[in-house]
Amino acid sequence: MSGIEIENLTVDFGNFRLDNINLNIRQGCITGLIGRNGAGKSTLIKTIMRQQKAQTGSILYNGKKFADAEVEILNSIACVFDTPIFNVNFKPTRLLKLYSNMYQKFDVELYMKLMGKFNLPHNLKFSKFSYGMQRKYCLILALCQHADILILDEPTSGVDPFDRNEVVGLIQEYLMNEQHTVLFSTHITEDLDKIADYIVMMDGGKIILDEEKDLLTERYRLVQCSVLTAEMEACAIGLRKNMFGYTFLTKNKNLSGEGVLVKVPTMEEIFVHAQGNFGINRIKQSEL
Amino acid sequence: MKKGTNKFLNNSFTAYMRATMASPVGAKRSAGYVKETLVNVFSFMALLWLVAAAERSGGYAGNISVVISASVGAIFYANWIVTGISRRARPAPLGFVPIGWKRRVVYTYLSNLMYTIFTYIIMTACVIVLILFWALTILIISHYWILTNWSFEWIQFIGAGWRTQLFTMFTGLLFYGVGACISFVGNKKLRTALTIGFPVLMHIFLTILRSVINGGDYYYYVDILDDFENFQGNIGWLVAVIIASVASVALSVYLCIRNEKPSKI
Repeated sequence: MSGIEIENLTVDFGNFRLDNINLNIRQGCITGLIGRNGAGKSTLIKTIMRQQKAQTGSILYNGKKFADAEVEILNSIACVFDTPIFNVNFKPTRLLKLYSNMYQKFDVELYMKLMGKFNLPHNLKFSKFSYGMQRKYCLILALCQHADILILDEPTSGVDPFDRNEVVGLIQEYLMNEQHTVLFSTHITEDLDKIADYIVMMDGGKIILDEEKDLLTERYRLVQCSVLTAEMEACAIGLRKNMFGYTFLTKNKNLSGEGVLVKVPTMEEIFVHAQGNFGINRIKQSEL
Repeated sequence: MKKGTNKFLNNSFTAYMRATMASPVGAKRSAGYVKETLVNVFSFMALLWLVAAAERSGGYAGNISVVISASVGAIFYANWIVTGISRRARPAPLGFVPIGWKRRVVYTYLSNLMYTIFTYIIMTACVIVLILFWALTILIISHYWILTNWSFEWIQFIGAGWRTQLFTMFTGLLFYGVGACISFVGNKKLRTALTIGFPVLMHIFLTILRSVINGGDYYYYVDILDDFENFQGNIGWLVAVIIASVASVALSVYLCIRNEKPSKI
């Protein structure tokens, strides 16, 4: 199997721990990584990008170990971190020179095209860019490397809806080549609805869900009701009560009745209800 | 499709310069690093002064003081280099540039060394300005307050009794105090306490020791530049500095290798 294969990965900070992570980031697919703040998403990305040392486990990049094919792997992987990895006092003209010299496959033509598309200035210091512009510029640099593996840590946060759509489109376009792999960490679950093939959910340094998005939306239903019956309670996942009644996820597609609304959940609804409630910590009605 | 050329991989000097200039670490951590360097430079200068004082005191106490001070100086010297390198780690883009880890060790080390030396030059210039300012202040204070015998050649101060003790303590603590205050802003309390605490105690101890042995009377020079020339004849000092230099470079290279060598994971 190609893409990124992670086995039994453990990263221990003392007060935080990525615990025994097993994950396949599949080639030719967009894998969405979601979780609450502090769930370990950025740590996982940093570990994959060799910026954080792991205590145990193994990571294979397109079937190869980093120690065996360091140069090849670095040439085939591009990442947009939550903070830029270059000097923020540089202007794009200087960064272009730097990146085009560093990466063998850097596409200057595509760079120019994308800079024009997003209307980004060439002669303004990166630090003077707005946050959204910075995110877009980092994404442009990553896409122009023509890497086989693209890792994105919150690439669309702070980007306006119009440009976010463009960014999502670019990622989809990138994946037209089936040899490419994308890992996409985000809090904007709407983007995952649009493009993700697989969803990986993290909580407290552990992976609590790793499923194909279509299966996930097919498997679960979101139920909204004003009265909670015993049958509903028995099959409810992430039961929540509000002033209008109850909402919960369920695998039971046969729920019906007066005042019961059953619909296909969005990723955000799955995320909100599933957090901490898959298999364990089911909220009982008595606790509400 | 126009592809970027691969000059980076073919030109070591260009690679090293570009990686250094492109480093966000230099831009982001410089504030903390400057503080750290300032503390070390302050401490280092204070130790020069301490050795000068110890040398002047003579006898067993003086010899012991010189050896201890030189050792502490060597520790500081090593600490300064190693701290600079280990804190700064690696210029970030270098971690993603497709080169082997051995080349990355070389570039990282050179990059850090250049940055350390550059910062040291800037900081030393700042310290010299501070010393001149401090010397001028002392000159004015001594003229109106504790002057017993002084000349305009530099700020050669010869005193005795409790006022000299107080003066010695005050000026010594001034160096450490300023360094400590600046350093504590950087939230590196433990490191600073270890860096500053030991020489402060040593300074106080030696001051009291000299005072006891010499019956409270001794000559005290605050002419740092003049005293520095006397160190050249001190073999122990030079040996300590050379050993510290070699050790610090070796430790720095080891840290770079430890950071860059890919693990089996």
